[in-house]
Amino acid sequence: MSWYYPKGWTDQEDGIEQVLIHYACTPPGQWPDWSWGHDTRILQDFGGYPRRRLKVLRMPREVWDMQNGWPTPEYRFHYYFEVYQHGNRWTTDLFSEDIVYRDLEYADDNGWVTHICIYWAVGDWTAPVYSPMEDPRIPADSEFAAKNYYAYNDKERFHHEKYHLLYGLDLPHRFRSRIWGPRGATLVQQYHVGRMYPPQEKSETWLGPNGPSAPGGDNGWVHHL
Amino acid sequence: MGASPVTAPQAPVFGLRKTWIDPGPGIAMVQAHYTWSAVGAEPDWTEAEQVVLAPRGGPLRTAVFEVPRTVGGETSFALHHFFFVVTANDRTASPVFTEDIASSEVTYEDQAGVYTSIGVVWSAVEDVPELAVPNYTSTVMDGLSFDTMGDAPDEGSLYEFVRAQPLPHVFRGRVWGVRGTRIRYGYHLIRSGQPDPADNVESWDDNERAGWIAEL
Repeated sequence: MSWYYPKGWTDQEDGIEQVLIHYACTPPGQWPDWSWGHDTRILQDFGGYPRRRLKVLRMPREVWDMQNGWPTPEYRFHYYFEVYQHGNRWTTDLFSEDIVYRDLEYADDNGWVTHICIYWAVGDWTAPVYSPMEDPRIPADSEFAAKNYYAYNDKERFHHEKYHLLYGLDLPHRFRSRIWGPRGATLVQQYHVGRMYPPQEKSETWLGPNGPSAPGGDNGWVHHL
Repeated sequence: MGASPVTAPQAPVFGLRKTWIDPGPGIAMVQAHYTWSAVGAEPDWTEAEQVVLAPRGGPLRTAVFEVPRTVGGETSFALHHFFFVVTANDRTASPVFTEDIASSEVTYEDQAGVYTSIGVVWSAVEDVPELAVPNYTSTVMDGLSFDTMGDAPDEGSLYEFVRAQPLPHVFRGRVWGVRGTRIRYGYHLIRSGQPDPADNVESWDDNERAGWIAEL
């Protein structure tokens, strides 16, 4: 699974025909070898004056560190823009950002929650992400681990089994998961909580600091990474 | 910038928009889950991608899938996705949709040897043109030993290599999409590395906004 990072551009001059973003990720403290492969995407033109362009990039949750032989959830994101303007091209400076994570915990004191995700986004709600949360006492290889939920064919069975798995654990249930973003950036965040069993008690909502609400909007926690 | 590589390069991707129409009021959120496999293989959902579809006004929601251009070295493969729909009191998953991803070769013939490299800008033909997702492919010229599935113009100067080749110069690239759909494309025409930098030029040819069409 990935998370999403919107990168925007606003034309500062006339005559810009196309803007591309070139980007690569490396472990902390390292630099990309651009000749060895990187990604390039065209920013979508949203028009307006000044003209706005945007590309939502799919970002990895970890980067493989070949020098050390392990994956790292914190890494560096390197990028520059290539601009085609008035029949010529020019490039911006190279920018590098530290991608860092924060682990969140939701404590359910009364056992109401059977399913929970972090609902979050970098910046505003342009590109929201779901991070399924799990109480670490649920075995990672459990058939009923949260990450297996979406593709599980018999949802009612999953609801029943997960309810009973959680019911057997002492309270509070402490659900955990992770969010990512560039250091110094602002993230907005809610919890999507649900009680999916027993059937007559099915209910779910998005929680923000002001209580239940619709997804997104102003009712979200704000994190500064 | 010349450090040794520290991460394995990812396969280039392309953007593919998917849409959803709310069948009625009361839908709070729609996610799409997607993954890919070799043609005929079952999907493995353990590392599937997910994306939230953004409301686009009225009942329409859309999201852009980031799909690799090759799977197992093949440019044809299967893309699997399903929608996960949350309403106030329930949640449902759609059936899994499996589509064949196909590619088509696109060529540009430069009779006069004007250009040093050619790019192809392309997107799936959408009913609403504003929903088109632009993608880019750099082409490979016949006779040159460079081979790339990359999606960006080469930074290096190709001028001397290109002009040593006999005319016409034929540039070949690929476009991708769901088999049976149409791709609209145009050309990015680049002349770089000239002895006099003032002769360097780039332009875009979109066939007077109509583009050209490839059937997948």
